Amino acid sequence: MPIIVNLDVMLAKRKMKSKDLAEIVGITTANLSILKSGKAKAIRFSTLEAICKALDCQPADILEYIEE
Amino acid sequence: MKMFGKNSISKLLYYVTMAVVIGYGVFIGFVAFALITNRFELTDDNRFKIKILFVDSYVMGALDGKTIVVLLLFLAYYLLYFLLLLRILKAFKSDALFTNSIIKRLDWFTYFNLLFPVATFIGVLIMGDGKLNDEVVYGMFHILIAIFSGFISAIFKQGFQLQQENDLTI
Repeated sequence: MPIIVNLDVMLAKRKMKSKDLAEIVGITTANLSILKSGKAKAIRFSTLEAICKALDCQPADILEYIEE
Repeated sequence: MKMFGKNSISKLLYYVTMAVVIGYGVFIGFVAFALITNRFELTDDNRFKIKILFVDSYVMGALDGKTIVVLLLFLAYYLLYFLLLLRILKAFKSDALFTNSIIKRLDWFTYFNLLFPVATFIGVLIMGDGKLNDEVVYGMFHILIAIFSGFISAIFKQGFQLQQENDLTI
């Protein structure tokens, strides 16, 4: 998929663990792992909003479009 | 009453079909046993006559290899038919409805329904007198079920796809 999820990068920048982010956002670590690995088919606005709030960033910091 | 899942019509039909499979299996076993061990009456025109237990009815046919093989194949076909139906109903009564296994089961049921008209047509051409009478009606009936089963399978394929997309929406 040409949409790349850069959640790992943002987590590293904010020095936050996946487990903590999952807890703050209110999703399971398994689902966060699916999102990080790029296996997710879609992301809800509410999830994106919660991630952006937790990491204090913009959606563009997490999602990136790279032409295949 | 619900169509699928626990306490549903599917569950009720599952147990009814299971009873049919068991009863039919016993019946086939009984007929095969009677034919193998020569436990049947022989009529004047050289036909075997097997009395069915508990009912006043008989299984009759010409006493030759061809007729016996066709009879046993016919009985075995419907035993497998009900077994496939049982597997579909078992999947229908489960909680997870849109799965790959149910699609496979529906596909098998579709192919198996198409097998009857094809096998009957070939059988009549090879072994019979070339005339199709009742077989046409039964064949059409099976083709009709195969078409519906094929449609249901296609719907479940779409459902499976949507389910996967929904599961992977975070």
